[in-house]
Amino acid sequence: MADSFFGFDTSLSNLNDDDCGAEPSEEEYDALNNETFGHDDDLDWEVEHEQLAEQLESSRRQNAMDEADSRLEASLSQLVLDESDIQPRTSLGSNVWRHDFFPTPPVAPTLKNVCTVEELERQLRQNQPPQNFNQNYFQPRFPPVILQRPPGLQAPVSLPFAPQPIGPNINQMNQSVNKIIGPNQMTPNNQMMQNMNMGQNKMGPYMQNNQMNQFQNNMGQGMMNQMSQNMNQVGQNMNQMGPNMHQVNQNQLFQNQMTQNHLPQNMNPMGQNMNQMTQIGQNQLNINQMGQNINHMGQSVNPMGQNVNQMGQNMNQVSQNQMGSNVNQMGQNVNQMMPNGNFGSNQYHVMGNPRMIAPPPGMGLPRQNFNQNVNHFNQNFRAPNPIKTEPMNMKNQSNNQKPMQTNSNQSPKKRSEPKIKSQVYNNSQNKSLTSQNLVQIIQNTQRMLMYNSLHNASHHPMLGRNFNNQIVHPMLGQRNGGFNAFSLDSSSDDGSTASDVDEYAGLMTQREKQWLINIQMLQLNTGTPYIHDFYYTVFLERQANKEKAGVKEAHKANQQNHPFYSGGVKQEESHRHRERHNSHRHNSTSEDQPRTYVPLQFENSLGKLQCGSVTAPRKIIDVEVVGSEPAGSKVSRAPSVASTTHPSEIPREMKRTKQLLLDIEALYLILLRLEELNDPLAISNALILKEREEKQKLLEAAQKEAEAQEDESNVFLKNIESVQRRPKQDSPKSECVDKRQVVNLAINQKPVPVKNLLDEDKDDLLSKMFAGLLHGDRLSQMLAVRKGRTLVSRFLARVPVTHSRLRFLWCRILRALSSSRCRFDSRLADLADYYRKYIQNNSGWTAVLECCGILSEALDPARTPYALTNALTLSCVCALTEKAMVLSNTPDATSSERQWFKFLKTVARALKNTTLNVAKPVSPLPENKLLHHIKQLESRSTIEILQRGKRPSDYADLTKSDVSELLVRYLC
Amino acid sequence: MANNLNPLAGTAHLLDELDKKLMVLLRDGRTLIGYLRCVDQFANLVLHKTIERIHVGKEYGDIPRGIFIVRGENVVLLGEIDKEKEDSLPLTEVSVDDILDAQRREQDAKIEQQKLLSKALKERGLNMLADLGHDDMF
Repeated sequence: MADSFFGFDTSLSNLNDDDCGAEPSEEEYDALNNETFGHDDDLDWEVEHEQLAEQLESSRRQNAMDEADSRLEASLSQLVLDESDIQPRTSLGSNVWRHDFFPTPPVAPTLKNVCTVEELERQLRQNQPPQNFNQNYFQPRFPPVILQRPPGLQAPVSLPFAPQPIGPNINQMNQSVNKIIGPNQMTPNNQMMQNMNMGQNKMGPYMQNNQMNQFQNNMGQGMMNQMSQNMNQVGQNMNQMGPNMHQVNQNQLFQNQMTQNHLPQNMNPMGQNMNQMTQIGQNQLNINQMGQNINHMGQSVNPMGQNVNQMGQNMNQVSQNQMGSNVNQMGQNVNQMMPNGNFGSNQYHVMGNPRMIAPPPGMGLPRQNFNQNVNHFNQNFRAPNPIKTEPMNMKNQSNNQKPMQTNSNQSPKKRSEPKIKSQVYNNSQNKSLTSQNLVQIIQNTQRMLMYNSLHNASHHPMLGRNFNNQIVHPMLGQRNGGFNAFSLDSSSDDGSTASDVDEYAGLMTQREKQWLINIQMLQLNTGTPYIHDFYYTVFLERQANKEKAGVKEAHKANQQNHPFYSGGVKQEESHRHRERHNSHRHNSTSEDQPRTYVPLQFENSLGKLQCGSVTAPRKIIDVEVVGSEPAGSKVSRAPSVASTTHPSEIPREMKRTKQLLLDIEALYLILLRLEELNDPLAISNALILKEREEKQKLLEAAQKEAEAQEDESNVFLKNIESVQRRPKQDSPKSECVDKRQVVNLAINQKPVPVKNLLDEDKDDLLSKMFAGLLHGDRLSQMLAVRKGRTLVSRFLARVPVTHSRLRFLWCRILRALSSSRCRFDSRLADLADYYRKYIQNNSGWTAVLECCGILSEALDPARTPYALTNALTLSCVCALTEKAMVLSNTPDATSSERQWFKFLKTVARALKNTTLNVAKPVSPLPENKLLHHIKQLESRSTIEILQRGKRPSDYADLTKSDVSELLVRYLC
Repeated sequence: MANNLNPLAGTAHLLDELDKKLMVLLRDGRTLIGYLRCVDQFANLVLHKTIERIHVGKEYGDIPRGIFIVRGENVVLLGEIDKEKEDSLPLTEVSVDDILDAQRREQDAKIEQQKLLSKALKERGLNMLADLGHDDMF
């Protein structure tokens, strides 16, 4: 078990083996330490120190142990000073790390590989600092067994935070660290601690910010290493501070001397320590767990604290290191500390009866240990040997040690001290220090860290299933009934809970679901959603608009555009977005009236049109536009007719229609571009796109440059390359597109690299559009197709009324009116508005008369005036009349007026003779104005007619009153 | 909870169908009914407690299939089965053998009709649309 963890090699356990396995007895610890540290004397100074230590042996109770301690500390301090050396334990004998007393599987090493920064960050983002932290904080019963167990691995007892949906994480740890810092500030009579805290106060946040960031970055193993290392540094600081302080304490008389004599020598370690302290900021931890003995400590420490202050000042003067500034910080922090120290208000800080204090869950401290910690608090101040202390210093140290020992003797459980020390050695891979408090802290912190890392690791697919965490890996496939059975998907709960519980529910974890969602979101995350995710973007935009308007416009529009009742419903402004509306998915059908099927019928078509089905989708092609003029037979006939008579004709007819549709679509590309020119969404996206393109170009250029530099020798090749590349880039692919090309865009041209919207020229696009629309007889055919009518209507909305080619376009449109194909379509009526604007914008009679000529052709009495069935026709007449009213406001009659009146008569005649259902104009004229206009015209034209000598009988069929009556009836 | 986490909420998403009883129509025309246990980004499905249901007229028969892993491209459509309506089906269940028989008969009849149709079309000088094959149906 110890050698493998899900196949990961754990033999190189570089992490704490401490938390695992049963707690060894004191003897075991001792034996272990002897075994461990007896052989580890390869440092020079240690020999020296050994001699010293022998002299002091009488005053020391556990010489061997302390020696080992000091050795360790010294070596550690060396290691710690070298910041690059993060993993010092490689120099250790394997017996330290392979002892039999902790035969537990090292978890953390496996985490090293699996935890990524992203994982942790994500977790951190997801897991806000848990609100119920305090609940765990006061866990009443906390089995000490847990201490010895790696929390992640097969802990039979549910861990204190296991019930939390979100496991302990670094945030939590931050909190616990905060809590720990708290008590320190609450020993107001302990000056030394205050002083310590002064530094630490500043360091606390610092540590949380920076160190924690480091933790986030160095996940898993690295994190723990760092943490424990930091803790060790703390310990060192404490230890190395300790002796000095004691020196001061005991030899107060020689204080000045001491500072003069020893300080310079001690400066280095001190300064380093102080620096380390600023890095770490967790020194105060060892003070946390002190309890009853705190008073003793306080007494003994008080003077020390003062001395430390003085030392600090002295050091300031010396200012060899950064120590000085640190001390300054400390001084500043006194102010900060005071408001921060919530004396007594902190839950954790109950100095009087520490037994009542539950340890913070993050620390994982059982109560018994808590007591022990209290007892061994004094060990902080037992003098270990700084690295390069002189003999004199050592003497002082030895002197100091006695009172310290007495201090610690006051604690009833003094005996357990070595044991715990050994625990330190075994646990913390960095050769650690004396303080038992620190030991505990390290242990706990490591546990915490391991917990965290484990928790983080549980996000990795390959790990964490065994962890008591609901985010479990699916690959392991086991369903932990307790934790994992609950479904993260509430929707699945709804369904299954009612009747029977689906025991196989929730096989997909939230993590997997999130993964899928992320994949989908990733696909959407292009930066230019308008281009790459057009429908969704527009859909969202529309929905936002719809919410504002509170109208189910989309649905209405969709209904209107439905092929089955496109003729029935009155068109609205939204018609122009038909294509897009069709992409809407909505479920508001229930509110509207039930749909009624109105079968489409075409001229000459036999029977009902077939609808395409899933099984026969091809049949849809059969729905084809039927030409009204059999003589022309140019456009198309119903293929059903054609197929029965001339089977060979099918392909040609089909091809023609298809070609028409494709042409329309090709024109749509231009139209959409045109429309996008005014769309802020599209423009913003185009900007992004352009930026990217430019970047890409720059990148390519840089690459090319680099290449060019690389094979500078091969000039020939380079030249060839550049020649080959230039035309590719420079050729304006879609620039020179002639009429023909536009029309046949869809067929002839393969997808061209799309030009950026910002590069588009509106005039260019407009002329392309006009070229396409005015090509041959296309327009009348296009107007026969709904798609084409929409195209024209949308295009007209974009064309400036002053455009020169608009005149030709309208001529074509009006000419197409005569075709009966358009009669059913109300969409054309929407053109009336544009026509009105166009006519109003024109000056003089030319445009009016031109239109009159075309329209009178359509209303020729020799034909059936199908055009009248379209609202556009009479709307155009209305618009023309309006214009004519303005134009005819001249004193003299003109020939143009006569022509105009003639046209009106033609219209009236057509209206009179027709039996068709005449469509009303979109915007009727005011009756009195029309009458006035007609009268005006009549008063002038009659003379003209008589002058020309035409027979009045020509107009016998239509009396004057008839004309005005009919016109008023239909135009108003 | 899922809604909070799911930014695609409101859109049709296979994750919404997890652990629900689904009817899945495959491209080859088979109909599967089972509990959706797992999906991936290709819409590959894992169906649990799957049965294959064969409908012929007003009759249907179920063939127990167990766990089905369906490659996503083979899914024509799928939908949740309403448990309440499932209890009051207007269809009658028959045994597997019966339904297989019926299916065979139906298919034979179809083929026969197809033959007739193509023959009739040929007589009129038309060819059956070759591309209206089974593969193209969906």
